[in-house]
Amino acid sequence: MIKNLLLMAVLLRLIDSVKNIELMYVVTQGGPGTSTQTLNYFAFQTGFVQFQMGRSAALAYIVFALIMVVTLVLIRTVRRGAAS
Amino acid sequence: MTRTYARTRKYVDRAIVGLVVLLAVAAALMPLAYGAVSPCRPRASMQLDPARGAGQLPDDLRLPEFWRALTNSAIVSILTVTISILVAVPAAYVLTRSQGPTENMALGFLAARMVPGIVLIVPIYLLYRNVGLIDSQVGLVAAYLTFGVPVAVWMIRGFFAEVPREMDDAGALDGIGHIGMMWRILVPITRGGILSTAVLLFIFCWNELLFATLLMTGDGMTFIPLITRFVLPQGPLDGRSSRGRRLPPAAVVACS
Repeated sequence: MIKNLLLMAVLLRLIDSVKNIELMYVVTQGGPGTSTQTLNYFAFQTGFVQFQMGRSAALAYIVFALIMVVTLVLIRTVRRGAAS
Repeated sequence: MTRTYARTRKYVDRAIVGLVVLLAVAAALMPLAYGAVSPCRPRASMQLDPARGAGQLPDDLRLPEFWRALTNSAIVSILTVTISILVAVPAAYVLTRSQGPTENMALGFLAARMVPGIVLIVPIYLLYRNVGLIDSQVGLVAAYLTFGVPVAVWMIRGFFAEVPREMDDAGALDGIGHIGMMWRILVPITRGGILSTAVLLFIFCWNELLFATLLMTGDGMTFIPLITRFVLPQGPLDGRSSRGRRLPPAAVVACS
C-alpha cells in the first residue's frame, strides 16, 4: 500500500533535485570552475550566459529525456514487484 | 518489577524519538533562525558610514523597488493561483467522473511536472522577446500557469476521487447538472483540499526564481530576484538578503 506513496515521493523529490537551478544560481553558479555544475545548470548557462539558445534547448531536452527514462524505469520496476 | 521496566523503556523510547525529532527540526530551522537574526545586526560597513545607524530595515523599507517588487510578486502569485484553481476544478471533475481513459490523462498531468523549467524557458523567452511580453506581469502569469495548472489538476483530482459516487447519485436525483454537481457538491466538500492546493501553488509562485529572473528584468521584477540582487559575487550583503527570505514564509503564515 505504502509502496505507491513512497514511489511518488521518491519520484517527485528526484525530479525536483535534478531540475533545481535556483539554488545553484544563488549559491555557487556552478563554480568554482565547473566543479558543482550539473547538466541542467550547464543548459541554463549555455542559454542565458553565453546566449546560445538552440544549444541550450537541446541540452534541456536531454535532461528531460533522462528524467523520463529514469521515471519510467522506476515505475515499471515497482509495478513488476507489485505483480509478482 | 517488569512494570517499572516497561515504564522506563517507554520513557527511553520517547526520549530517543524526541531527540531525533529535535535534531531534524533544528537542522531545518537553523538557516531560518540565522536569517531572522542577521538583519538586526549592524552592517559590516557601519564603521565606514556611521550615519546610517545600526538598523538596515528602515532603509530598505523606504526603497521604492522593495515595495514594487513585493506588489509584483503578490499580483503574479494571486493571479496564477486563481486562474489555476478555476481551470483545475472542472478538469479534475472530468478526470474523476467521466467514463473515458482518464487514468492515462491524469498521468500526463503528472508528467508535466517532470519537464524541467529550463526546457520551457528557452522557447518562452524567445517568444516573449518577439511579442514584447518581457517584463510584463501577464507574461509571467502565463509562464507560471505551465506548471500551476498541472499541479492543481493533479492535486484536486485526488481530492475529488475520494468523494464517494453516492454523493453524485444523490445530486442526480435532485436533478442538478454537471455544473451544479461540481460547484455545489464537490467543491464545498473538498474546500479544505482546494485551499491547501491554493496555498501550495502560492508558495511555488512566490519562491519561483528561474522564470522570474529571466523574464522580469526591469520594473516588473518580482521579490525573490530582487533579493538575489543583494547577493554579490563577493558574498551576500548579510542582513539584506536574509531579511528578504524571511518574508515569504511570513506571508504564507498570514495567508493560512
